[in-house]
Amino acid sequence: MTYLSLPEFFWLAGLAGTCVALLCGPMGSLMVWQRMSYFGDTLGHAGLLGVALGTVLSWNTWAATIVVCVLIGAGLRLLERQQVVPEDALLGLLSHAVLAVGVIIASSMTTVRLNMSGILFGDILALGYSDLLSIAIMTALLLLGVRKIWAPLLSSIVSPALAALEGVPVSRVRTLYVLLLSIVVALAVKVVGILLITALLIIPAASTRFFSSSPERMALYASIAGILAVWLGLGLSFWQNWPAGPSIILVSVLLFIAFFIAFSAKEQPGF
Amino acid sequence: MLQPLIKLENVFYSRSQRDILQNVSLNVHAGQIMSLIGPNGAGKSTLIKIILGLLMPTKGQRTQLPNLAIGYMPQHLRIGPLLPLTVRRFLELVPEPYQLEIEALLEETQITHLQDRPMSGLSGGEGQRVLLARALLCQPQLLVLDEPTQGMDLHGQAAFFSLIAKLRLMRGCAVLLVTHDLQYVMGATDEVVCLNRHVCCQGHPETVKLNPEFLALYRHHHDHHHE
Repeated sequence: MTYLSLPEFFWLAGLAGTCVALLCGPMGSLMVWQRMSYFGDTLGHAGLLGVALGTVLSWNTWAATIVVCVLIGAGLRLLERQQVVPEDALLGLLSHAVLAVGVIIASSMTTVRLNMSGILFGDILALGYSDLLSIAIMTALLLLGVRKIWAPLLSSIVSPALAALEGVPVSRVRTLYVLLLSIVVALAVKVVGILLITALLIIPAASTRFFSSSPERMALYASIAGILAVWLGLGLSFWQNWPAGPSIILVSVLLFIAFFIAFSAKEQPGF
Repeated sequence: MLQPLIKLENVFYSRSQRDILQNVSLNVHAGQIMSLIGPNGAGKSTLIKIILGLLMPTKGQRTQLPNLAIGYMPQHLRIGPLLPLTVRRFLELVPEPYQLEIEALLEETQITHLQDRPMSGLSGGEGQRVLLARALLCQPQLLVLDEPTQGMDLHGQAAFFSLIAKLRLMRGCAVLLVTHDLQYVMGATDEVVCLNRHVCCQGHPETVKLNPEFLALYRHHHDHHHE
């Protein structure tokens, strides 16, 4: 059997990707409902800064990425409250500021050279057992977190005013979501890289919208579509010798197109 | 006299150094229909948010009866097409949904046939009925409606207002509504508050009708078009 002869790094990559895709289902659904894709991009760019800083300070890169993403996420959440600069301009500014600083730090390092394409497009095939273990533990914790904020956040997305009247701490719930998202993005940096993170969050969620009848189903189906994209993408990358991260995204885009055509052929959605 | 459900005393509200509300005092009484009218930019929506307790006044006092249940019907919801949410599920978003009560409310607001439809595909009038049903789910003592007949045709407006009147009779709740429909205001409400950053005038429709400040604001508008 050929699949048994697949190398170990393939299985490690697949399992790590499965964890991240599992998280991206509900987190990405919440993201598209709140129209936050630009927010995700900014956090992704913060990931580059995190990896660069971690290397310079010789910290654990996972920890450094998580810390920087969380700080940027929290900073954005604070800056949202000011009313002078509109949110999209602010995100554009911060997104490119952290990207620029990250690249400068990365390129000014003399002793180590960062694997730039690994940061930009993911380095999933280089994961080891300990990486997989940390990803799995983080995934379990983050899924618990998502579960906890799911109902109040959904209610606030539908109507902040109604949610507040019904006693939901709207602002706090959104902050918690941003913090969770920052950590998810930091985890996803290794899998698809900082430039493709938003894609892994958004594309599976958007593609399963077509046949989901409830918010929960959409999140679940998005996770399944993401996992499918991870394994098919890895397979494609293995046989064709393509880079893994972009192959995963390519498969998820193809899935989106397939679902879209299948659905449009069947009936007009309630769009 | 019974204690009012909600009492505002000398409320001011300003944002970025602009005064939006100045010295507004009013009482919302149990069982009454009170309507809030005023030109665009008069601060009606801000006042509603203060009454609901969603915004804190910059200055002044807001007091309410303890454990007051308020049902609120916002002007509109912006539910994007990417969020698959049926009418039924929307109603179940309240903290402790009771299926029997939801069934009864679907009947009462005449939207049983819409329950499996996506929220993003409803017409204006259908959406308003769904929002009304949601507002009624908490068994409110006060129902706050922000321009509830927006986007409805004349027939729909009349049907909606008669539904409100029926609900008030059956449930005995107070109603506070923002509207541009002067005919309704004059015919069917107990008290009118005319707002233009400050309270221009307030009282029974018959007295407000003759108030010079009210006439200055509304006579002119009404010669030209119907709001």
